[in-house]
This record gives sequence, structure tokens and C-alpha cells, in this order.
Amino acid sequence: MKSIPSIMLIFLLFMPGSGFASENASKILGEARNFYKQADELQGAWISTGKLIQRAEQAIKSGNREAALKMAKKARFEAKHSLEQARDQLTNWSEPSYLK
Amino acid sequence: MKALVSLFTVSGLIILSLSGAQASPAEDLARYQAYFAKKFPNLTPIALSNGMYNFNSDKQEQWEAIMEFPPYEIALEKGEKLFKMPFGNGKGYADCFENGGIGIAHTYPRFDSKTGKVKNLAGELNTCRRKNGEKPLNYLKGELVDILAYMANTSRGKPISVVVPDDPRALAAYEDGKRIYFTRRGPRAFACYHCHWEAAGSRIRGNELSPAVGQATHFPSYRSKWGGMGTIQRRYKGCMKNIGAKPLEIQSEAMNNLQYFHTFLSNGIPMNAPGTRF
Repeated sequence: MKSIPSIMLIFLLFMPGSGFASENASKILGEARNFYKQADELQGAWISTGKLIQRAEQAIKSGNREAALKMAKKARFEAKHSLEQARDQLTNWSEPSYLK
Repeated sequence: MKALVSLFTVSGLIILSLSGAQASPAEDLARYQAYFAKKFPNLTPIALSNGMYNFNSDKQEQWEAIMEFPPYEIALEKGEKLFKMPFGNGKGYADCFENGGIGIAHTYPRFDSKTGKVKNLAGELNTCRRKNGEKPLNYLKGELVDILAYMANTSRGKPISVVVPDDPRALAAYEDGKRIYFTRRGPRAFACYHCHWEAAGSRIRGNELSPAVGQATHFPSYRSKWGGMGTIQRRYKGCMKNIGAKPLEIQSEAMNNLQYFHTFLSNGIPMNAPGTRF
């Protein structure tokens, strides 16, 4: 019986449009920005990631939390991959094999 | 074919002997240019500098028709006037360069032993302006590019002669440019060489891809897409955007190093700038 109010509370806190959901989007966006900045410092940022970050920021500002979360996650996904690529290429870039 | 290989070999040796360069850039040059000589045995070095127009006769005809009244002529005239116009202090661009700035464009970018950095002509023009109390100009288009067009025109026909001197810092700059050139970037993991080496002569959508060797000979260029003149770094920026990579900053050390390496690839091929491209 006790568990019903708890479940309801969790549902209310994390349902789309709740404060927690928007906080989550901001946190994810922060991670995306951090990955993006690191990739940029390694000359490996992607144009589309910058645009996704902007769109997520706009969605947060306009209170569209569902879109904000979606964009922030996309931005984080891309930014992380661009950083991995940039780190990999620092040591693994090479001339094509036909030039060797 | 023999003429192509021998010209490349001779130019490589000249550059090597002039510069006392470490073996690596000279060896690179020989390998890189030999790749294109083998890939396009029927193209002379001058033809290589005509880029995409070698691979599509319709476009070549259109381009030749355009070149009867080249659209860069206005920029050229304007550039000459601007180049000769004195600064507020009475001095001019000619005072900042050897030989009064005439017939030197084919030797840029250069490694500057004082600063340990690569300097390109666009940067040197703005340095000249600052030294003489003038405001720097836009690096990508406008008056600076007009002046570059005039200076390039005074080098037309002279072989590109970029030197990597016997200085570890110069070699590091060259290697950095090479690294940037061969680094995969953007969501599709493209590097410059994907389009301009193995796919040179092939088509991407409506355009044939030009070979890497020879590209640097015709900048600055008038591009129909731009509706005006632009520098080679403006073109790099466009290429980087095309592959989805955030472009490197114009005139940054990285961009200048890229230009250093990329122009070095065309050593020995006559300067053909300003040029015209679709």
C-alpha cells in the first residue's frame, strides 16, 4: 500500500514536463557541450553537433522539455563520437595504403 | 608521361637543393606527384592544375568560353590599384616585400624562422597594413583577395616553389599540415585525400573531383558559387563544411600549416592564378 504513493511521486517527478526531466536535459546538454569542446580543441568537432546543441538550448528556453531531452541526447551522442574520432585520429591518421 | 615525371623529379630536386630540406618532404613530394602521374598519364602538370575541367569536356568548353573574358579581371584591376595605393604614412605594400612584392606569390606560404611559424601571403599583407598603421582587411573576400589576385598574377607561369627549410620547426609545421590533410573528420569520417586522391576524376553529384596536385596553383579564384573571389583558405573552409567537419579557424596555425603542406604538393607546377572555377 505504501508503495503506491511512492510510485506516483516518482511518476510525477519524472514525467515529461516535470522539473526533473528538464534538469536531466540540461545535464545531458552540459555533457554534450563538454564533449563538443574537447573534440573542437582536437580539431575534430562536427558542424551538426553545434546545431544540435543550439536546438537543445532553444528547446530548454522555450520550455519544450521533451524536445530538449531528445536534442540533448542526440547532441551528446554525436559529440561523444566526434571526440572518440578526434582522439583516435591523433595517433591513427595515416596516408592511404596505396601511397606507401 | 616522361615529361611529366621528369618535370616533377627535377622540381623536387631543385626545391630540395634550394632548401636543404630534410629528406622526408622531398620524398613525400616525389611519391605524391608520382601517384598522380601514374593515375593520369595523359595529363601534363599544367593540365593537372586545370583540375576538374580535365574530366568533363562540356564543362571544359564552358570554362574555356568563360576564360575569354575571365570574371577575375575586375578584381585584378582593383587589386593592382589597391596594391599601388599608398598608406596614410606614405609607404605601401611594395615596401613590405622583397622585389616590391612582384613575382613572389608562387613562393608562399613560407616558413618564418624568426617566429617559427608558417606565413601565407594573406597574413603578410595584413601584417604589412598593421605595421603601417592601417586596419587589417577581411581574409576571405574583398580588397585583400583582390590584392592577392594581383600579386598572384605577377607570378603566373612561375613554378610553385614552397620550401621546407632545414629547421625542425619547419618540418613540424609541414608534418602538422600533412596530419591535418590525412586526418578523417566529420560524421562520414572523410579526409581530404578521399576526394582528391583516390576519387580524383570521379564524380560527386554534379561535380568532378580535382586532383590534389595542382589545386593550389590557381588561388585566389573567382568561383561562380561564391559570385566573387576567394582565397584558398575560403575553399578549405567550404570543403570542411562539405564533409560535416567544423572548419578550422581561418589564418590559424593549423590552417596555415594545412596550406603549407597542400601548396607544397604542387611544387614545380606553374602558378595559374587568379583562376576561375564553377
